[in-house]
Amino acid sequence: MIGSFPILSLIVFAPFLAALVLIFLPAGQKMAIRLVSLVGATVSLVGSLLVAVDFDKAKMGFQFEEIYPLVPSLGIHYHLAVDGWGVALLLLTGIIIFAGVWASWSVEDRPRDFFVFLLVLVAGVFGVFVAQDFFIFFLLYEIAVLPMYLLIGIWGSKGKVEPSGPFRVVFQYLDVGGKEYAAMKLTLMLMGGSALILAAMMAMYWEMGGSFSFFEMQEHTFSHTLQLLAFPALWIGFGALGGLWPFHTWSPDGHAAAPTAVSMLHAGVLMKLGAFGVIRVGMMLLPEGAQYWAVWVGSVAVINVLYGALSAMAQRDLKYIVAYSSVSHMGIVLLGAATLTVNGWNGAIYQMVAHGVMTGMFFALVGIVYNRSHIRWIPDMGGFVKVMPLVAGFFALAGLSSLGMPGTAGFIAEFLVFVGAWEGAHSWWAIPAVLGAFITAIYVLRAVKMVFFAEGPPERFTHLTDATSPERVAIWTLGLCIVLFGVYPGLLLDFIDPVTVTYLGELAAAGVHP
Amino acid sequence: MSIEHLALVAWLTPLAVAALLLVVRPVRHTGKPAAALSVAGATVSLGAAIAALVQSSARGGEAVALTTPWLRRAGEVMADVGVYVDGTSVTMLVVVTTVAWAVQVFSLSYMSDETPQGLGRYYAFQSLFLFSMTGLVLAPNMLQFFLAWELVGLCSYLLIGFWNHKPSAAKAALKAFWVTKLADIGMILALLLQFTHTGSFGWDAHAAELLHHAHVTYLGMPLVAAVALGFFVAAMGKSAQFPLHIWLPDAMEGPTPVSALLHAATMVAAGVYMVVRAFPIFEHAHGVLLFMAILGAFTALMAATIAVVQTDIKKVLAYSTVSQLGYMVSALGAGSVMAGYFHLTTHAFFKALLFLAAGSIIHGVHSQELGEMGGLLKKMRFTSTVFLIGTLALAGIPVFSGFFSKDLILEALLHGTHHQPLLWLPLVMLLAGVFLTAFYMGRVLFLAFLGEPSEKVSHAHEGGLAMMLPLGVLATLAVVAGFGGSWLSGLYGVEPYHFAVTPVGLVGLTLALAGLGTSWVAFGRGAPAPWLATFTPIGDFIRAGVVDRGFAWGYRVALSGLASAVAWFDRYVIDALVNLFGVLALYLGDRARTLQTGNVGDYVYAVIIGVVVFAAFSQVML
Repeated sequence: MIGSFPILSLIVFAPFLAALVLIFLPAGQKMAIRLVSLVGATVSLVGSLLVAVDFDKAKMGFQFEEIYPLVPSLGIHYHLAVDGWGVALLLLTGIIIFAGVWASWSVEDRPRDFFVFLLVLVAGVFGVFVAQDFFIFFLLYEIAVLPMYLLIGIWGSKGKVEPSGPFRVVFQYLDVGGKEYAAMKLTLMLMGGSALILAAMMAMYWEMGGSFSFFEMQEHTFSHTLQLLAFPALWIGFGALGGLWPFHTWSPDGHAAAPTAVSMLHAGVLMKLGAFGVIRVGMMLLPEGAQYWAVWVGSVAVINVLYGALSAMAQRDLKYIVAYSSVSHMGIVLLGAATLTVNGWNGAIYQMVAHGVMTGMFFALVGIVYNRSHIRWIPDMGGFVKVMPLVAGFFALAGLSSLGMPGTAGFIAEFLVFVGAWEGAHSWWAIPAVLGAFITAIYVLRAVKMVFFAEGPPERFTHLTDATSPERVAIWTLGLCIVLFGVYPGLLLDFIDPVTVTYLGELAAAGVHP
Repeated sequence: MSIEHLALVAWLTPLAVAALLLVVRPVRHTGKPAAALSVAGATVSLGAAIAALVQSSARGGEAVALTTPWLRRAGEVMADVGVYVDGTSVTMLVVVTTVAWAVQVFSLSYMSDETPQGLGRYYAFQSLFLFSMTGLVLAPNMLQFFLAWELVGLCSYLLIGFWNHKPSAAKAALKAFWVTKLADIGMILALLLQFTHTGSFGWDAHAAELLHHAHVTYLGMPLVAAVALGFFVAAMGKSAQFPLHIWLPDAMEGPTPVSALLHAATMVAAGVYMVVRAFPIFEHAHGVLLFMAILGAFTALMAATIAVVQTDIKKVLAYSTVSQLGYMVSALGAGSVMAGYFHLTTHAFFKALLFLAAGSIIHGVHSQELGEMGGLLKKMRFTSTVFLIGTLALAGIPVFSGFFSKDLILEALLHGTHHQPLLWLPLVMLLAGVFLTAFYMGRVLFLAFLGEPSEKVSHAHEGGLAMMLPLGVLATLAVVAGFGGSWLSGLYGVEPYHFAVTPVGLVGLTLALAGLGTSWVAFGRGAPAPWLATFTPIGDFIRAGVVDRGFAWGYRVALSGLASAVAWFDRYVIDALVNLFGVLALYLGDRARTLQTGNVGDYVYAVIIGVVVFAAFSQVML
């Protein structure tokens, strides 16, 4: 159907082109700005769906390949291609940016600039999932990370961080919880990660004798020393974006300060770039390094799961709860990856999609509540179900997915990772992971109760309104995906599973076993 | 239609209704029509279930299945979903759909004061529950069983918290969910164990053999025992066994018909049903069975003791449910599937009857306090009659259904003592429980129905046909279900059962009559006798709720304290290091800035020094 049409380029460049168009629109034309952004996002979503439909599941390996020499002298090629994992992640990105544009419909402060940065960012994300040249991969990765600084710094909001004791002065000096602080912290920590990736990339490029091609790197067996040294660099470098403990602290402040659509995209897809990088670049290209470090990757991931869940339990700011829950859930992804088993990897990729959709929904809803009430401090809320029943219902749905309720995408993902962990070399990893799911049930449902149920709403919130039509499009889209991927796992697993089997086969050939 | 298609209809019709009501808001908000739709769905489900039972019975309970692959790994099927119909599941299917139908009809009248939105939501949840529960009953493997198990837990959460504007209801819903979810950790781990070592989620004899022959031990237990224990821990949560019973009495915050359906007849029995279903696995785990026998009997006795001192009619019934579930668990622990399952069936009918009758009283009197009732016999004849039937069935008086099943449980325990002398302990506890059961039910009966009508009672009246019809149906079943024992045993394919008068049965009957008699002496005039005041300190002790406080401490102090500590560590240790780096960079940058003097001479020196150093370096290195 698609034939030789460069569909992947279309998916990557549609948001970018939309951003270009936006630059030339008058800043006052809000509706035109929204529509152009929506077109850009929709083209990418439809493109991703077309790729999914036209993707030949029976045929192994990469499809829809595009390759043009970019800087031949340096061995840089514009090389895009997609495998089953890529299809799943393209779909996720398409869904999130589509919902994200709808959720940002009511952005009033400089909407043009906002959407420009948002679309540039998402173009980068799409690109990372299909790039097969390390240089292009890294370039797009940076494009995805950098606009975040401006998006948070300009459109963000301040959370309520209550410092205690001698820290008060320091906190006030640094403006901890403020949007500029959060934006700076997020950018610098992720840049630090990028520096590590860059170092590893150059070392690999050197040993390849001047090629950035993933395909060629896949064929090549890197020297033992390089594998052992480069893998942790990639693990921590990418992991920092994936919420890896203890390099995760940009996430709570960053996500809490970011505006709605930015939190959605950042927690929904950007964190997946990190985890995807760890698996696709770190583990696949450096199998010996992966084998050597897997026990560390898994053990730290277990810390992530429990630590994130416990931290979330102690929060009273709604956005901080969701942000820490992301730290916990990204731990599930890294745990699945570290098991080096089929179920673990299937679960890891599934969790990327499941968590992406779920957390996107969470941030969309928190944004709706915050837009109307201008508070995020849970003890001041209560009884909101009376004024916003739809928001309450969908919040509960997202909560159920995050605690792994059957019938939602979260269950499939978490269960597969649990099975994978148990099958792997370190069965005990599964136990804290299961406990993490239980703690999630505690903090998520308690938040649901404190925000939406019980007495209330307080006098000043009785006039609040339920989701508007554009917001409804966003949350219905995400809600539908949560249930669909939960009820019919084959929808995604049929894409993910063959790739996992192939990759693990290659790893096994390289001497890597669970 | 074939049996498996009938089962499919019984399972999926409520799903269609639930999906419609949940997704299409205008339909849900119609209220009464939405309710009618849900009741229609339940009726279809019930009809299909009965037709399936008739056909299955004709074939002697032969197993048929209709499944489709669901979850894959490396191209191979990990688990199917679908329906599995045999004598065991088809009977449970009929029990579930019957009680669900009765409750949904009853609710038409009981919930009539709700807003249309509220009513629509209520019936959406009811339909969702019926779908989940039938899915659990018909599960072809433990994985689907677990999916449905979690979903009924969700429905329980949603329905307990139906009046979520009441803080107590919102809290009770959370408590129920958390306690059962905590127990479910056992089930998840058991599933992981089972799948990893056998590659299957089955519960049948074949799966049990695979587990039995795996030469693995966990914590000193053979694999099969570890798996059985994990499953049973989950059952302890759902079926409210000590010490995880604490959520069930609080769950009475939900509407009374919900208590009848979920928290008396069907959902709480799911744990018992699981043991019945997976009995081939449990059979190999003797230690777990003994543990079940003792724990169940202890739960039965303890909950019966607490039921004696409750003043809220629903709380009495709730503790009674905990107690009766203990009987079932204990019977299964003694190795008798028939006794446990038979009691599950009869209990479903008479306890649902008692709860709905209590609902009828609450509807009439607008109070749940026994102290505010009295003299209802004069005002609510019909309700009094059916409540009496339920009481006699629960107390274990002959011809009523509870007598037969309780008799069989006592016999099973006695039979078990032949090869396991330790079973004498649970047997004695269960016999004591028989006395207490009759005593506390007599107390409710006399306090509520005898004596002079109070102010509140004087306005009481029956609730109309929608309430009386389900009560009548359940009352009939509460009487006749006991005579179906030998038919059921044939259908289950267990050891044939025929009622026989035995010494232990006579002891049980004597104790039951003695319980009723004592109760008559104490409460026969419709009010507590004065001499009962002597026992006040004991009552206070029983009401103190030691287990509840233990869990509250674990949550408020231990877990929340740990969470606060971790959050503190994150903010003031890890993040402080991040900030330290930031501050350090600012400081160094500030100092480095002084190098930029703006004096051209300084820069020239710097360039010259740089060139010299670079040249020297390249000479040495290259």
